Amino acid sequence: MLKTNFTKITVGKAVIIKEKETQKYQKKNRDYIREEKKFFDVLKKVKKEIDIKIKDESKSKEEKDLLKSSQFILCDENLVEEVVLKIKEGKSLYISVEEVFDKYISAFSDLEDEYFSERANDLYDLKKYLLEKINYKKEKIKTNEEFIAIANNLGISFFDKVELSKLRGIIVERGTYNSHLCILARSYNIPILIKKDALNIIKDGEYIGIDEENKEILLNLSLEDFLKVKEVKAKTQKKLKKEVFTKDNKRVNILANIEDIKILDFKYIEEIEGIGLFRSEYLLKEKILSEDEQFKIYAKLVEVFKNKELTIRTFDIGGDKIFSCLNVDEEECDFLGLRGIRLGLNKLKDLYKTQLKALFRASVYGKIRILFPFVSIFEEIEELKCLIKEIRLELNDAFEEKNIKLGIMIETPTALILADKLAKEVDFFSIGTNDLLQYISATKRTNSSVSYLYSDYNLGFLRSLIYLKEILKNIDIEISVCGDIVLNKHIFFFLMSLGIKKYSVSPYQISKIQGYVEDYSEDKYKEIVEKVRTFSKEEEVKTYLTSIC
Amino acid sequence: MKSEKVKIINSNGLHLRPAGTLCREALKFESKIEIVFNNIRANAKSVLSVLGACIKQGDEVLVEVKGKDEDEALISIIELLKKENLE
Repeated sequence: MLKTNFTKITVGKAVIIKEKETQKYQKKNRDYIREEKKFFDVLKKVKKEIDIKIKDESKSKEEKDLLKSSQFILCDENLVEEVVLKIKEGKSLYISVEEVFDKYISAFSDLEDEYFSERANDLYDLKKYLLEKINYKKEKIKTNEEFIAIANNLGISFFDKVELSKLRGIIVERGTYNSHLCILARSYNIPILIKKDALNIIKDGEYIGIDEENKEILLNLSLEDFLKVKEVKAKTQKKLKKEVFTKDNKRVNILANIEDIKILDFKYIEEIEGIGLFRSEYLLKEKILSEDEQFKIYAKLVEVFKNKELTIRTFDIGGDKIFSCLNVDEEECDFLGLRGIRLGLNKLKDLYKTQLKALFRASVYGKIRILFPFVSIFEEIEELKCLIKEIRLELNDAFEEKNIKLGIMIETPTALILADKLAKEVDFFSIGTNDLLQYISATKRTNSSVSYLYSDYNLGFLRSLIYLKEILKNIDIEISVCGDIVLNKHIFFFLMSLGIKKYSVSPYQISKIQGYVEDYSEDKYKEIVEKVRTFSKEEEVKTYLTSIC
Repeated sequence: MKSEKVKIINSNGLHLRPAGTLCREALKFESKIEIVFNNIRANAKSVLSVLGACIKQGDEVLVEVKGKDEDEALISIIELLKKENLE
């Protein structure tokens, strides 16, 4: 009988992931010029992929720092030269990269400072990433029941090869809890354990458990224990709820933010209330999609979320989201330059028109809400409506007017200040707290020296939201919030007391926010707004909010 | 060949992030750039070699530059290393 707390255990069938025998041996008379070229091609590809990941809004700061370090290492002159030398000696690309990396990994592991052993780990992760790119095999790992993956170590591409809904846990023999693999596992809420000799202890196919708190592996589980854990888990698991209400029975909608159609594989897709934000610019990561290619994607989403809600934001390019295939000048399109709608109505008008046509066509399959980014003046909405008029004519009748709703993001200071005027022109607002905080506090969120100003509790920012509510006093327009700030319970309660009843977060965070909603009571917290209005300093807000929630 | 001594002010010395910034700057120049410290010659264009030299705040290093653009390179690298918030 298990003695430990059932709720902290994960169980599943052990599936041993073996490192495939890779072609490490070079053939005689290997063409080293070709191997050298392949090396530089792989380097270029990996740098590009990492670049895209760094620009991905949904990634944690932890992961981004790791990725930035990887970029530096990939530019390392010595490392690159050493690999090329080995290739010239006749070794295969795979083995050249492996040997050079292993040399540095072992040199760093030998240094006493813990800082260096962590860097050794970063090198190991990067080595795995590169080697997998060199020997790319796109095989999916097939499983038909819930399983726990066991391996000596795993690369981050592991998550692309498995069915996430069936992966209950991971046990690896090496690495540290700060490795890229662990960071990713945590972001997917998958328990991960590092246990030396795990492969010697666990048999393939055995039913085992992971006690994450005590960092123990539970072997030889009896069927009774196994079923008991699953039963307890099922009851206490924070499943996604289809609807969620506050303590005083007020309904609040929590929707999902997405960047691609991977959401269709999400375990709880049935329970999701809808898509609050589809960041469509990520569709252009690799290349520019044609109208038809885009239409297929939008139509699919419209269909899947037919009886729910679907909001697609038009391409928000610029700032730190500039993809190479778009041919735009980074400086011209920086944070305060041509971005979002400014770019769409200006240099990228054709691309924008194509997207709008594809979105309108998709409306034939069901309801669709189109959201425009970075609006800052009234004239932009007028221009947009002109563009839409053109599109209506060009599409003839190939769209369903009554299925389409138009909205704008409130993320620039002027949009907030002009909210009452803008509200008359559109169907809904979506407050982009990430960017709004940035522009209102006059800080660049990627600049670490001013990160103390880019704070959730920035008083000017919080007050600006109170002003927004006042500006819209006699106007009835739907407002939602999409942005990381929602994860901060204090600020979430503040937003709730402002009367906002719709939020959109990463799918993996929905159940957390649903928990927040259930802890909130309008009656109990209604004075938050008035109280916050009286403060001058961040410290005061923090203390107050911490004391009440 | 040109060289100049400089004291590292950055609070974290030349750990990975500042080493990376140094490397990125050094790669802009054609000349060979080395950071000499404690009998170690680290290649400024290699993050890992600079990192391995374990240079900390307060350490004095010698920057040696040799090549066509050695004048601009030396000025640029010295200026970079004099920064307090090198990240």
